Amino acid sequence: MIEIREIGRQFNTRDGGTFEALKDVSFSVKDKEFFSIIGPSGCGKTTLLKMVAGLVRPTSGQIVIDGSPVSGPGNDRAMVFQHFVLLPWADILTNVGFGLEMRGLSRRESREAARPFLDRVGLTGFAEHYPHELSGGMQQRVGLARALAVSPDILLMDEPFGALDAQTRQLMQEDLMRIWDVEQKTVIFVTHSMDEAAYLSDRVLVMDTHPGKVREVLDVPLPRPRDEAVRTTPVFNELTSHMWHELRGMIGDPTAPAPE
Amino acid sequence: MRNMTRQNRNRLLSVIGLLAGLVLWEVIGRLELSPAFPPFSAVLAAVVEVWSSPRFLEALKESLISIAIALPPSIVLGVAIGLLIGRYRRVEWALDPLINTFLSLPLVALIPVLFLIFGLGRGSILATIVIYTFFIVVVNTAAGVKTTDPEIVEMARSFGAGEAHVMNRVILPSALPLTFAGIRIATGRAIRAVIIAEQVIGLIGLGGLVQRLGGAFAVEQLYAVVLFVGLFGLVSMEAVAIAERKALPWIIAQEETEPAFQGA
Amino acid sequence: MVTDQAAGATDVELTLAARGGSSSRWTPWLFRIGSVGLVLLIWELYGRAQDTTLFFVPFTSVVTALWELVQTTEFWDAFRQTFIPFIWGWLLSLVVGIFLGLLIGRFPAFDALTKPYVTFLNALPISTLVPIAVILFGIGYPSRILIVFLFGVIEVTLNTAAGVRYVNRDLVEMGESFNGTQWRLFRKVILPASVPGIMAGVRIGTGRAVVGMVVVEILLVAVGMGRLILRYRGRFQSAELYAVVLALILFGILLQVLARRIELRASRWKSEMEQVA
Repeated sequence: MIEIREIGRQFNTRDGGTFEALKDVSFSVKDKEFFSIIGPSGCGKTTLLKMVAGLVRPTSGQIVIDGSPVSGPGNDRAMVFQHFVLLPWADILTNVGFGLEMRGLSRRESREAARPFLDRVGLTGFAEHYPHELSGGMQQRVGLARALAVSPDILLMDEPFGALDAQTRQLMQEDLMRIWDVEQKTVIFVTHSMDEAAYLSDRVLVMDTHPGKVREVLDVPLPRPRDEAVRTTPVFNELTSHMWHELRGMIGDPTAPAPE
Repeated sequence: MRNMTRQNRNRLLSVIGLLAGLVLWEVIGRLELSPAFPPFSAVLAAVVEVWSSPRFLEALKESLISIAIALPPSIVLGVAIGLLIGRYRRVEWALDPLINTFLSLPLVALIPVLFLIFGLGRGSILATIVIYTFFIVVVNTAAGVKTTDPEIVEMARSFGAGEAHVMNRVILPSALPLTFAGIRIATGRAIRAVIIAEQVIGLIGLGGLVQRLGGAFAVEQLYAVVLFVGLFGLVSMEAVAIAERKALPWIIAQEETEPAFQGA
Repeated sequence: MVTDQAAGATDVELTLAARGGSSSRWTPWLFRIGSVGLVLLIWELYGRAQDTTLFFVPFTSVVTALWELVQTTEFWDAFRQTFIPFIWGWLLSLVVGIFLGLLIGRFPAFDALTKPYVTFLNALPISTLVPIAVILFGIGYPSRILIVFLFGVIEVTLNTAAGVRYVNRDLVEMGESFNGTQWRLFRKVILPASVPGIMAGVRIGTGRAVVGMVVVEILLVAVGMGRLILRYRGRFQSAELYAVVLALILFGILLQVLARRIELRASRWKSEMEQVA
């Protein structure tokens, strides 16, 4: 169980004032739950995710995982990044094994241990390729395999498909669904696509902006396992149009992008 | 605010580092380990004495005159050639091998030849400054031209801009940051050039003074001149950087533009 | 201020250049060879037009003199005497410069502490330190090594530090997220990501070290190549003097080409990445 307790984050601005990025954010994520966070850009959803990862410290409040407060990155969590962030000088297998190497395994051991995860994301033949030789979708599969390889309880995904084109994105969503059905991990998934949030999640947190705060948490009453057909059901459409309605109110702000 | 305190902390550390170094210098000097390390206090006394001495001021004047004669034309010519190279392929093809050669060779090795051609006097010093500065301005200007966004050129063309207009309103502004970076580097190199050329001659200018003080084992005075030369280099390059910020207000948010080329 | 992106800038396809007429694959080479040939021709003709070859020596005479020079043992003895202190000073500048650069790039506090010295030495013409080196060590190998070292070390330090400092923030954050030790983060992410900056430092530092080597020869009491220069100047053998200078220049260019090659090889992943992006 992940508890986010009254999280706030403030920045001091150049002119001496303070800027409130996040304010009183509280919610909790259950074990094995697929939990999405959606909101316009600038609402602090990525910052929030990085706080759970232990990469960013909140200025107030606390994040508690299974009873112990987060003070930094931990072996129970692994992150998937929006821009993949692969090591350009290392081949794919070394990239997948990178997290294991960081935890003290030798290069050889971690490469060996990485192999099954490469298979799981469908990149079996690409072990010796380099990141720049792969398409964006394939690079993000490497990013996903790298996170899975350290066997985390919690998978933190920061707009992982945001940099991909629409078709690749849909394929990746389906693959992620399939993998998650087998792995059964807690996932916190940041996105700005309503469609993606509804398709993947058990619950969706809709965030407000300026300052970033919780607007509402929606249940997604769609049966699992899900497939493409889910996208045409009335429940799905009702859910996405509800989110659209919620987010629309924030679009008066010119800095907010139109939701998809 | 957090950034500013970090900045202040770093400034404080720099001051501490400087003071610690000076104390260490003083201690080493007092230990009389080597005549090459006089105590800092003795050097400071020499600074007061030397920096106002007529001999020093005369030498400084000589060096400044050489830079003032050679550097401006070298920069102007360098910018002109650089613009041509950046804009016209054939000019680039023709001059590229020559300029690349001059950028990768140890220019200082040419000094004996320059002395043969121009004699042991100001002519050789001026020639040294020119070869030290000209090529670096050329390549940075040319590289600046190439940073122009081709889409902006197309945009300008689509609104009917001719070659002169494109050059003036699009290419020149795009090239300016790197051009200034080139001038900044060239300023530092001009000082290097004048000093080394004067050192080889051994009679005139600050370089000559360095050689004569070294030959006379006047270590404190020698340090005083070396300190001056280093600080003078710092101040000159900072002056160009300030001019740069004044001339290019639109890149004020950025840090100093990194030169594309520095040369060997 | 320090990184040098020569390759990137020269390889830019000149989409901006105003073309003129049609050009085949060979046209650029025609221009290149033509202009170099023209310069050599002017050098040759101007040299021959002089009343005396005391000051300005025609190109062919220089080449002939160099050819004869390299067949003498005296030349190679002089070269060795110049080369040995160079090698030591150069290697020392690389080792110390990379080490200091890593510390400065990684630890902002160390950067701040050393900043006054690095900034001053970067602005100072290092040749002014030659008399001090002589007072310290005399005119033997130690001061020659010291001078070469001082010439090279600053550029290596600055470029290495820049390489470390400008490692992609995302890469560092990704590394941190996998909860390893600081040392592993440094070894597996920051160090490999800094290699292009370090190698740029090695190349530029090598160039500066060669300058230091030549400065030693023309400022110190001459033993190696510098003694040859002095002697030929004294005997008015200008063609031979030009030849020695040409030999020094060729040596410098050769080292630059080698360093450039090593740099490109070590930074290959970077250029490949940029091609894709």
